Amino acid sequence: MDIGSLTLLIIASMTVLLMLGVPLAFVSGAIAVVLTVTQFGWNGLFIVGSRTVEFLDSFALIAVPMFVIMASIMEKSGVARDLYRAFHVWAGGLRGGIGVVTTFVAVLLGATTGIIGGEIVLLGLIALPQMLKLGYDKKLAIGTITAGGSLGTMIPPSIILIFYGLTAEVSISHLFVATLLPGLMMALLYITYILIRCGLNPAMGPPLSEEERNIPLREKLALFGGVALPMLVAGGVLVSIYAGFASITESAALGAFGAAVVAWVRGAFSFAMLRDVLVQALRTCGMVFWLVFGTNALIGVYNLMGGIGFAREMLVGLSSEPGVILAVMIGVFILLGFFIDWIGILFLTMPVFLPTLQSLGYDPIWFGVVFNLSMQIAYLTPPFGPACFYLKGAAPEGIDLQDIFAAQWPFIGLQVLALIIVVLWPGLSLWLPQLIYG
Amino acid sequence: AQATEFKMQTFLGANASTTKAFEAMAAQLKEDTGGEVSITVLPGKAVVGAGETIDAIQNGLLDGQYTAPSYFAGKDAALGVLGDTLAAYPDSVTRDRWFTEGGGLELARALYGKYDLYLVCPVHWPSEQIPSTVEIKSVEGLEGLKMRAPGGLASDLLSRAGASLVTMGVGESVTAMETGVLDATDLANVALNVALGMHNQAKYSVLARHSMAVTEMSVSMDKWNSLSSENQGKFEEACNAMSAALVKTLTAEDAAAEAKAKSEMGVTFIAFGDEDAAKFRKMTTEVWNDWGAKSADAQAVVDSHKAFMTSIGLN
Amino acid sequence: MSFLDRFALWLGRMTAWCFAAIVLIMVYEVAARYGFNAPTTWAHEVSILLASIGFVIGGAFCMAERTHMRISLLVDRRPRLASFSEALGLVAGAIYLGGLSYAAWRMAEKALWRFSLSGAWDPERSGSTLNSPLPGYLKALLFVGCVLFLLLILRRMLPLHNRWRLR
Ligand code: NA
Ligand code: NA
Repeated sequence: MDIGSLTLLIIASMTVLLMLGVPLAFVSGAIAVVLTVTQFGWNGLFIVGSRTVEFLDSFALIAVPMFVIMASIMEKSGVARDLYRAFHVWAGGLRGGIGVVTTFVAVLLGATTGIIGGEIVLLGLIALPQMLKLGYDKKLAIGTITAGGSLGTMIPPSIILIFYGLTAEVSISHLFVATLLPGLMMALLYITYILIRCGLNPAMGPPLSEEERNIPLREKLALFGGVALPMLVAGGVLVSIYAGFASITESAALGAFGAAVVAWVRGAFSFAMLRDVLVQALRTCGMVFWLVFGTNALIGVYNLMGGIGFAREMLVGLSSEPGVILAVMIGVFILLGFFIDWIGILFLTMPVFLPTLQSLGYDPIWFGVVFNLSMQIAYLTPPFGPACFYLKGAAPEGIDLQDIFAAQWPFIGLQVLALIIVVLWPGLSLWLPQLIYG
Repeated sequence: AQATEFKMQTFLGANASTTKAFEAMAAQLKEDTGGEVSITVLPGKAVVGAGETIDAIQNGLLDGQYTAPSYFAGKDAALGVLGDTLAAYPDSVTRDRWFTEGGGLELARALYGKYDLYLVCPVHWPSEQIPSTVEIKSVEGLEGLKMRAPGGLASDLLSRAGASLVTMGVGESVTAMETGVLDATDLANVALNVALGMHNQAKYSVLARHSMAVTEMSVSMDKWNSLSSENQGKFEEACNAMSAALVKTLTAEDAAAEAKAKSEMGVTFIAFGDEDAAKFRKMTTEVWNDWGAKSADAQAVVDSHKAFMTSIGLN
Repeated sequence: MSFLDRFALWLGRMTAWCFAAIVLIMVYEVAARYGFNAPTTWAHEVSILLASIGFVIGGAFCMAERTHMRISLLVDRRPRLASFSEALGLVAGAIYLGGLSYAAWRMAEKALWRFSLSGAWDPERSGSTLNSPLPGYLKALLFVGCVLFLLLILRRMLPLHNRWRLR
């Protein structure tokens, strides 16, 4: 069977298995095993095992359980509740104010992590229950967290840009600076959307009543006193990274340690709590990483079967119009983003896209931002939407995957809008690196 | 005659000069053999990780590789020793004479034979340069420096010199240099260091000869034997031609990058002097003694290098 | 709940402590590097091993807990599909975990069943300064975790198989 038919077969069987309710962790893995055995025999299964071990052997991944531990401790020790009460008194007068605050928090957290996952679980554990309790619209709350939490790789540092930089052989620092303004613009788009929706329909993000808000300033400040320590921890993680105290992953671990100390100071630390927190971390990782193992294996098999060459053929003779070729490339990013992980997309497309791009004269730094932004969309789109999976791992009872996916569409729309702006206006990405590095 | 396809994974990404040279070589070889030998170039990590390509070839997934033996230092000490000659030689051109004049190629081929691999040819790879935020003028200057640990023997050498090695990925080391977690890093040649933006922060580029990596191209023995001797010759010829071409392109790229780094980024280039070279060479012997003790194969490579160095007056 | 399920849950709760160990190791590492200018050679590789234990066993743990994600849209609308969906899921799981277990076994055997000329155990190593047997351990760990995961799936197929036989 030729690679084109195999590609269609893979997509079709994936869709059918997913729709029939086969656990996501098994879908791509089972397809990868069947493909490998039929194409390369039993010895070929080595690729499935090897890619899984390769994935495990990564220090960056450790940030995910560390963030989950940090979040889970804050939630269980009541810190999260106090934090949102303090936010609410200050921002509660605004329709949708807590949604805006949550997006701000997401941007700050985004600056402390290079991968998504931990940040979404953190927001899912801390912000989601509070937003729901405050009467926020379920879909709006969910979308704010998945889209906001995905900014973890849009706001520097970002593992996606590191891998892109290594592949394209362009400056990773330039990429980090270039993605900053587009990332902040996305946050601004989310905030604007929340304000408009809640402004038109206050029931979606109800403001706090006059009586609740009108408390003496001293009491308002006192509310912050209770959350000073946890904010110090979050700030500490930020400082630890940017002052060169510890690497990104180490800083996440320091944050988890700091959260435990805070809980202990507040008298909320116990053996039982610690055990629950650790199990939550295990559950999140077990759920999401196993799902990536399978996809990751499938990508390797597909590359070996000639996937990269197939991608090249698709692009050849398509058009000579640079704009059309660029549009096709972005379309491929988004289309593949429905089904596979960013790393798979990078491996499959970059060997073909990068040389083409350079011959067309496009800026590779700007293209890195375009890729990064396309992966923001990929995080949210079903059926393979990592941001949604992470949130599912942290969401309260009664919120299932369908609810989460259904909440994404307006935010995907905003991301597409952001993508169009970044594509049509390269200066937004390239101005800041030019200013800083000359 | 029927066409033979070699699926080969290389060690760097799609945009690397080495990968592009490999693709050009594949096209040339296909033309030279009238389509009888074709190579499908797979970029680094496209199929398996860098340390697993030999296993992938043995399992029939890949047919060959263009990579660095250092990646297999943990699997086989002899490949670790073969993969990096550290500060033993003054430059890689002299080192590569070990392959042609010092019996290195026969030794390496025998070693690869144990993995059912045929080493087609060693491929030129330039000297590695250390981007650093502090001035390092001598071996003593490495004392207490926070550096990213390279793999294989180079880590041993730097530890001996007193550097505090921190293990992290290449990508993370870029951020770590910017924030100051690291003072210096082991990365690659000047061109790649500049391209990846290592010198935005690091204002020094140090040639310490802490690492002189070997890269090579090898293929499955069965597949190699299935080729006609004429096509085998053409394959070897194409491999050597690629290596020769890389001497030119990589040297030119390094020179251009160096000029750019000096003029536009204010980077100061430092090369260790003869005295430090001798000091590092002595330390290299100590590292070799340790690694040679790990297996008879490793010792054989060490002995061969020592003999060749004596013969050209380096000892 | 079968004995195997209870065992996987217990094992998961135990291995979760690996994450706590990582937190302490990282705190120690940063203190050692920044405070005493003497980073450890082992913190990095030991953390990767500990985290991998959690990640790998986490798969079996979620299977026992029934928390692996699925898209239940169609099954919710057509409840008659439920048992077919369950069976299909288990078959897919058995194929994936069977293949992965086999691969992991072959890799682990090759990485661990190695001896030097003197007869001393010589597992595959990382090649780093520490040169720990991390790759060998990761492969063995993956095998153990996969087999447990596979057994959980097969155990859950048992009642389905019996029901099919009664028809
Ligand atoms: Na980030
Ligand atoms: Na998606």
